[in-house]
Amino acid sequence: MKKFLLIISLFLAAYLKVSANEADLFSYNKVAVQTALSDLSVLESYVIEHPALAIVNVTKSGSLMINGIELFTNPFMGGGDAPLGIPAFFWGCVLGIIGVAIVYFATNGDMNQVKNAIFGCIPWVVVWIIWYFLIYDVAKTVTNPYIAPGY
Amino acid sequence: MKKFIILFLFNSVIFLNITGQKFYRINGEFTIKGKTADGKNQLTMGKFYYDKSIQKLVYISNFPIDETWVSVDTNLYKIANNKVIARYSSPPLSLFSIFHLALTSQINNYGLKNSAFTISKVEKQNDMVITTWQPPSSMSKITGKVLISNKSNTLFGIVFLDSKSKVIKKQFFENYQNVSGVEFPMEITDITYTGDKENYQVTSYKNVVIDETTKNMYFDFPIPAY
Repeated sequence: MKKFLLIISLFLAAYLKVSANEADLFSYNKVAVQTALSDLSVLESYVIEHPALAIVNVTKSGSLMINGIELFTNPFMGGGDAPLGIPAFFWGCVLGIIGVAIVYFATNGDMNQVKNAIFGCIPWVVVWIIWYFLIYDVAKTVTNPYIAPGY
Repeated sequence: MKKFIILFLFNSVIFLNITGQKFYRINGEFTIKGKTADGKNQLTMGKFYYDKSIQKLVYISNFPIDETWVSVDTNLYKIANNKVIARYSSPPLSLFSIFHLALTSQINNYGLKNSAFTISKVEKQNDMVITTWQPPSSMSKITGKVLISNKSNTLFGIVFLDSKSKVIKKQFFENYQNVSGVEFPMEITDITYTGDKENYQVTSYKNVVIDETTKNMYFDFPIPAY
């Protein structure tokens, strides 16, 4: 029993390796974020309390300027220039060639972003080729009654 | 013996019922506060609707102006006064939204399980389990890893790294609430890095509803002719 527990413990220790460096990446200065957004929080409170007034202010100004703060409205831009704020290579990696095309159009042809998406696309293409030639082709041969063995 | 069989069948039915529960809709209210390093601000408030079978992600903003944003397939529509004001090509944002991930129980791996990324290691630090998702080796000089941390079996943070292990983006999922069986983060903080500068965005949700049976016209928001 002791040996069993020891093996289990060793296995867990190896599997759940501790690394302080990477854990540190998952910290952020919440106060700094709140401070940076504090004027928007004030505006948010004002809008919640006086929704109609706030909207009238925006409309009268003729632009999306309120209390000296110019606002953009696209809820899909994650704080940066990339779609959802997610790097282009990610889209290429997950969505393949379509992802590259999408990044091209979504970033108005930013070639640096497109290049990243193309590199992200490479493994997707490799996986697709392997799937097509090795798995799909074999499956087709096995299941297609019109293909005689040996073809 | 009969009792045993009945008990077994009864338990099986309960088990299948629990594990087979499928959620398909989510809606609620959102507030997005954002500030970029170059001084752009965002304060958008309104309601969101998502039905995973329709795969239309609908944001109906009532502040700062009345407008609707709909992401469907690879199009993003901006609609106001029942007219399409603009149409953009975009990735299928709905499939990578927190709503789709929550409804399809993919929040913990951020949908990476079905991508070209592979798990290279799993680490435990204090109350976090950190999973490192590695791009294929052919890409290692160009792209970096994606690290995902889970706390109490729920997604806490995502870190995107470049090829030199420099952080590009961090995303934190906090204030989880169990809404009708779905664990949903009521606050998401995005930090993206432009050089040495940081861009912030905090998205808050409230009054979240799972599997709303009415409001069909919002979940399948009709796109006016463009």
